[in-house]
Amino acid sequence: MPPRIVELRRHVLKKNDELAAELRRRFAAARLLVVNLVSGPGTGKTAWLEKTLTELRARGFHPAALVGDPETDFDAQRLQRSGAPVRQISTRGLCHLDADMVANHLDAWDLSTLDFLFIENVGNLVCTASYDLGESLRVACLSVTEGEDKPAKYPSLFNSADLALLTKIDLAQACDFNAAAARQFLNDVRPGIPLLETSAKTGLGMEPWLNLLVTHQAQVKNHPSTKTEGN
Amino acid sequence: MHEVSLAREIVTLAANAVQDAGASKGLAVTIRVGELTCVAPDALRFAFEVAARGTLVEGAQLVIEHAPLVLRCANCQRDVPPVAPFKLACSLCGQPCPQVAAGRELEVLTVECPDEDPNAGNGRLHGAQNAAADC
Repeated sequence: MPPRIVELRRHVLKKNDELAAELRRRFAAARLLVVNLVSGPGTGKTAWLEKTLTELRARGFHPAALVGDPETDFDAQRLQRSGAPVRQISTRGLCHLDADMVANHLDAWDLSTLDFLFIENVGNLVCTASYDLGESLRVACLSVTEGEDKPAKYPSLFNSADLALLTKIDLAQACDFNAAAARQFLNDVRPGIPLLETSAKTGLGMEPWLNLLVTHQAQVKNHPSTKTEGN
Repeated sequence: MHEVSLAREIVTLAANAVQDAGASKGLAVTIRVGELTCVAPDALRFAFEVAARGTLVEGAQLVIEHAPLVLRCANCQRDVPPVAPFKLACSLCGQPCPQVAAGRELEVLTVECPDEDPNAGNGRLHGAQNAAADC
C-alpha cells in the first residue's frame, strides 16, 4: 500500500517562540526593557555589562541581569560587583539560552520593581540567533580582536540583531582593525543596523549607549503594550 | 551547532503527528530549512537519527528542503535573490534590502506514515528521550 502523508507545517522552535511570546507579555506588563546581548566568546560582553549596570544604578535606575554560560558562575560574580541583582544560568553544556531557561530564573524577582533586564547570552555566534528570549532589543557585539569579517562569516546572528556594538575599540590600532570594513560587512548582512563603537576600558561609547537604553526604556514605560512579537 | 536541540524538537513534533494520525511509525520526516538559519544539514541528520531512537520516528529518513534567501526589494517592488550570498542587497538594482521574504524557515512540513489500520499503533513511547547536549 502507498504511504500516506501527514501535513504539519509547524515551526521547529514553536514551543520556544510561544514561551518567548509569554515572556514578552510579562515584560511589557512590568514595563521592563529587556536586552539580549549576543556575541562570540571573549568579545567583552561581561565587562561592558558590568559598567552598564553600574552606570545605570548611578543614574537612579534599577537594572538586573541574567548571564548564561555552559559552566561556572564567574560572570555572575563579576556582574554582582555593580550591586545589581544578578543570576547565573548554567546551561550545562548547552550552547545557547532559550526562553524556558530565562523564565525559570525570574521566579523570585518582582519584575515591576526593575527598569532593565539584561540577558547576557552564552558566547556563541551561531546558535543564539535562533532563540527568541522575549527581549525588546537584541544587541550583537563584535570585538576588534576578532577581525572585521565576523558578520560575513556568521550572517544569521548579525542579521537577527537590532543594534551592534563594536567592542575593545581601544585595541583597534594594535590589531590593525579596519572599522570601515567591519561596518561594510555588518551592513551587508543587516542593512541599516545602528553601530556603536565602544571600549569598556576607556568608557568610549558609554554615553550614547546609556542614552539609547534610557530612550528605549522610556518608550516601554509609556507604551507597554506596543512591543511586537519577535520573528 | 544547535542541531541537537533542533533535532529533539523535530522528533517530538513528528512523533506526536504520527501518534495523532493513529499510525504505528513515521517513515520519513520532511523539513524546510532556510538559508539564513545557518543550520548544518549533515549535523542535523546525525542528531535526528540519535534523537529519534526509541520514538515513533526511529529510523525515519530526514528529508531536508533548502529554502534559499529571498529579499523584498522596496525599490524594485518585487522579491529578488541577494546580490551575493548573505549580502542583503537587490541583485537587480543593488539597493540594500533589510526585508527578508524567505530564508528564515525552520519548519516540519510533513511526516510520511505507512498506510495501515489507524487503530494499529504499537504502543511505543513517542517524543525525544535523549538529553544530549549541543555543540
